[in-house]
Amino acid sequence: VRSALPPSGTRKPSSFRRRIAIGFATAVLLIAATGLVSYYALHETASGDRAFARQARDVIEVSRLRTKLEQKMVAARGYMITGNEKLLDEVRQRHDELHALIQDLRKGNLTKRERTLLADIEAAEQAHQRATEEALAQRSQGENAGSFAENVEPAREALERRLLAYISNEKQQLEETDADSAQKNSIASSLILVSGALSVGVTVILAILLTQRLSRLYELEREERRLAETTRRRYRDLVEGIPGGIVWEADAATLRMTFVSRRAREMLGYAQDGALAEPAFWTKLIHAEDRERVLAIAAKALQDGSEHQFEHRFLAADGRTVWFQTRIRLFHEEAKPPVLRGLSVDITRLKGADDALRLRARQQAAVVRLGQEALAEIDLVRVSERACEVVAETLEVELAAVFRLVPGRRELLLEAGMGWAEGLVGTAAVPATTATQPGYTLLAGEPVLVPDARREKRFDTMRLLEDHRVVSGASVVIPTTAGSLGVLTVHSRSLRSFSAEDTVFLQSVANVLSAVTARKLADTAVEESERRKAAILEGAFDAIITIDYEGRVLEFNPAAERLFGFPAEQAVGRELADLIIPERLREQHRRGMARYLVTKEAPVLNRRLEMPAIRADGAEFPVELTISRISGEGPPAFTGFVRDITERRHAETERADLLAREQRARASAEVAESRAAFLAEASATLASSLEYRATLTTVARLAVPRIADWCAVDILDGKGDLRRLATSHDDLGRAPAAERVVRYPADLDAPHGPAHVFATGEPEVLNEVSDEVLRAIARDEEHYRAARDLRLCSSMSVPLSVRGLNIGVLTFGSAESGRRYAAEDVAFAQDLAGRASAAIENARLYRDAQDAVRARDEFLSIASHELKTPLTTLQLQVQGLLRKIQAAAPDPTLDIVAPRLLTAERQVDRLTDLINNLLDISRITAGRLDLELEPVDLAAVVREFAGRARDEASRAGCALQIETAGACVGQWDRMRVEQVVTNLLSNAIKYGAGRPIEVSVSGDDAWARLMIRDHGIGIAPEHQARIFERFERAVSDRHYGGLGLGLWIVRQVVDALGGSIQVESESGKGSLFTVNLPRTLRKRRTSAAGESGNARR
Amino acid sequence: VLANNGDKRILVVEDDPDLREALAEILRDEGYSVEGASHGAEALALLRKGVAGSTCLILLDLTMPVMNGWQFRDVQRRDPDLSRIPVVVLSAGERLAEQLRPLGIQTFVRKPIELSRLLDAIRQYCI
Repeated sequence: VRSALPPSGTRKPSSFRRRIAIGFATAVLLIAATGLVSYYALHETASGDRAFARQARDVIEVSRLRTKLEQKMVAARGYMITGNEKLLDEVRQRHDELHALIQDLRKGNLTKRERTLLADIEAAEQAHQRATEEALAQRSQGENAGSFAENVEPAREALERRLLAYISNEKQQLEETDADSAQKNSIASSLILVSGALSVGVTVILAILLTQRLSRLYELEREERRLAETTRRRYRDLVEGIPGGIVWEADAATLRMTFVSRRAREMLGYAQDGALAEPAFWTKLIHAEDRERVLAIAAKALQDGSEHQFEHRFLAADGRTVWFQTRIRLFHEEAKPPVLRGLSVDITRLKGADDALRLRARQQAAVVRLGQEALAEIDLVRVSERACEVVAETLEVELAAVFRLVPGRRELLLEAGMGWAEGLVGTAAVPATTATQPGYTLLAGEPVLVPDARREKRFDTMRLLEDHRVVSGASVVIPTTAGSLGVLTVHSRSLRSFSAEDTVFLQSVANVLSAVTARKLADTAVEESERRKAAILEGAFDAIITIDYEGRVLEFNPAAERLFGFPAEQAVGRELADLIIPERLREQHRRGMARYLVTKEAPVLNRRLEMPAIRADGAEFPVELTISRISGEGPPAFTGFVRDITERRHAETERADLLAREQRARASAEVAESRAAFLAEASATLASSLEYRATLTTVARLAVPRIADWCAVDILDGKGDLRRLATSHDDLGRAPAAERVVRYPADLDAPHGPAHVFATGEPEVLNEVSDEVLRAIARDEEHYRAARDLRLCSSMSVPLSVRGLNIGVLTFGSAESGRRYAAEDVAFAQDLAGRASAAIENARLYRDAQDAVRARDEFLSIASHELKTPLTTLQLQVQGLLRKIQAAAPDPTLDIVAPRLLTAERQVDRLTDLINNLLDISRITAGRLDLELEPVDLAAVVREFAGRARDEASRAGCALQIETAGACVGQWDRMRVEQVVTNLLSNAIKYGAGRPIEVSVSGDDAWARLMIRDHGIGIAPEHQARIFERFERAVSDRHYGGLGLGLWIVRQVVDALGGSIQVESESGKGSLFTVNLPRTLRKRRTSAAGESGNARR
Repeated sequence: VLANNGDKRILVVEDDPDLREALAEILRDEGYSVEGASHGAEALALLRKGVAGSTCLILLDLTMPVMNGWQFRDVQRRDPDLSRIPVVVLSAGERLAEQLRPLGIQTFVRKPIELSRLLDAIRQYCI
């Protein structure tokens, strides 16, 4: 199957189609062949079956023959014996029938042998008939019938044999036919199976082929679509990203825009959507002057399909004209109308810059040329003439002129010029006032442009110029350091504008003229400047010192004299370094000077420097210094401006001091504050737990990471050993080492470390945990290694003490934080240790108290249990005896025993109650008051226990009145309900002062109410609140015994059952106890709250 | 003899001999015939010796040496000859109802024993 698959999509679909067709044809042929084979096989089987049926029928027919033969024989014999004529007829009839049957058999498609056999049969039958007839004839002739047996029987046997032979032949044939048919059947089945399987197989293969091919085609197609999409997207991205370029597409037939990249909006200011909607956009967009040309090129591009490039202008939305270089080409894309695609790049700036650059280069070349000429030329006028030539040529103007200011006269002389009328140059002059252009330029001190002389308002147009018919012009000042030397002008007879570049060029030429003039005037100028400088030096407020390149003082102004305390005479000529620079800096100064001379690099030049200087008396003081190089030819000289900044320094230092002090104060305030906050937090955290171990862990954790990276708590145990009960660390990697260290018991004789601190009671700070310290503390090599693995760099241990007794040590260690503990940290650590000690002590006390409570509860529980065993026996014995007495016959002895036994029973009951109460206390305080809820009838309980208490009540002189209104059933704990009733009843009897007691049970659907009222001594209001407390009684125990537990237990039980109990009482008037119990426990509360709540904290 | 209960046998399984004797005496007075055993194993031995047939009730203490009440009940329940005999537990323990439920015991009498309650309980089973 694999090899039949076409390898990946390289094949042509047509070849594949052919193969599919061949495959289908094969399948159809195979199916047809299968059909044919099946038909043939079925046909064969059917004909076999038909033959079989016929042969079977023949066998049956032969059997019938035999029967007829038998009947014929019987009839014949009958005649022979009886001579009955009728039988003769029958014999003949049978013979006819036999004959007819044989003839029947001989019909149809018979084998040769069958025919022979049937012929034999017929012959035999004829013989038999003949024999029979002879025998019968003899009888009819009255002869002896002996021949019947002789002749007829053999004939019959012969016929029989023939018949049998036929049957056996038929049987054989039947078997053969059967076998043949079976064989044909199996061959047919196999053929059907094979051809069926073949056609199914071919069909399946075809289906697989087809499916695979289709899916591959589908994937290919999808992939191509994705690729196309990606390409399109990339193209668009690319298109959108082209800087300064617009990509557009227009329909080739209509030239209508179909796409314009976003940049068009930025560059031309058209809204993109509008641009696309406008049908004539393409033609409107292009500058009118370029439109025809561009459309021609577009037409050509549409015609020849090649790329065309051209420059043209686009009209921006705001009316600007923008130069673009556009490349266009016709594109044919599959299944799309052809488009004209174009890329237009903004070349406005390029164009402008190109022109400007070219112009600039030309102008600069001209200036350079002029400069070079000027260097060689000594005659100023000649230089001016050259300048005029150069500017006229470069700026392409008709006229150029140099007007020079005539010293002392307010006139500008036309010194040199180009294009002027004969005789004017060298003689003509214009007033140096704002009335003329040169004068205006000179006074304005800046370039003056005249776009159109006819409209000039700033100054009158000179006649001079009018005569020359100039229209536009420009003029610049020829500058000097002191002022203006004159004016350089250009003029044009045609209308033209002068650009900024043109002005710059003019100015450059003017500068060249200026430089030349300046050089000419150098000598006088130097003198002038010297004089001026001296004046500056004298009057300066700052000290000014000039030195030559060897560091020798050239000038020393009066301010310098005052500042340094030397007269100028002493200073000039001496090396500055020796004079005012402190000795330690002199070398540096000299090196700096030397370096400058070699490298011309001086980092100190033209910067404000602060440095120390010395006075004549040797005192050092800070100065601010600025050094600049004096420009000029020859060996360099330097001028330094020096200012005394002692005062300023002083102020600065003071301010810095103040700032530092304030910062220090703030920092320490912050530290103190954060420490106080930490201690407060520590106290709160420590107070949150009373569990001993948890407290120790809390102590250890508090410090990390706020004040330590590792913290350990060592506590003195009961055996007098210092044991590490808690550690904490920020870094989990430290845990294994910490565990290893814990294995070593503390060595109280160690010279350092927690044990040492414990032994001495003095805190210890190890600013550096050195190897020696670790060795000194360690018990052996392994201990040392473990301690080292803690990687502590600094540590601090403070004792934990309670009431002056050391109970342990708190140790802080620092590692990765790099914190170093110092002596000033001890107070803080001790503060924390104090709080920790208190918390630990509290936890310890609490633990002890809890242990005591637990021990007591356990004791009570065990004791009660143990007490119950003998009590049970005792109680049973008493009860058994009483029962026996009550059943016995009256007897005076028993009359004496009975009341005593009753007393014994009462006392046993009391004992039982007491023990039960004791047990309940331990149960309740341990929070183990378990309820076994079951339906309990409160009324029944009251009746039962009132019955029992009746004796007790009557002994106390109290009449008991019970009032119950039917059953009052709730889901309660039977034993507990009984306990409530008993305790309240015995309480009422005890304090009932022999007056009647009323008990009632009432209730509604949700609640049951039990009320017990006595008229006894009552309870003073101030005692009412605490009668339900443990071991509390309202009355003195000197009058009334008891443990004071009854009401407490009642309240606990009622609480546990979700109910409430109240007392109303008045001294001397009796009390009313009311218990309200919910019929079902709404909130699942299996244990008593109250005190047990604390006990379980 | 306070009542004619002679053909009804009660087996008292209780390790405290005094209590066992006291119970036996009282129950005999009530007309029951009583056998005592000091722990579970002894009780089982007795029952298997043939006492089982006429026993109408077993009074069972829970906390006992050798074989305690829970163990005894466990074996008794699984022995087809003994499992039909009802058991009433006598105990001073807590949460008895809860404890006895898995043992298939519904009736218990708390120690110290209130005789009338015990007799009521017995009468439920030995009629």
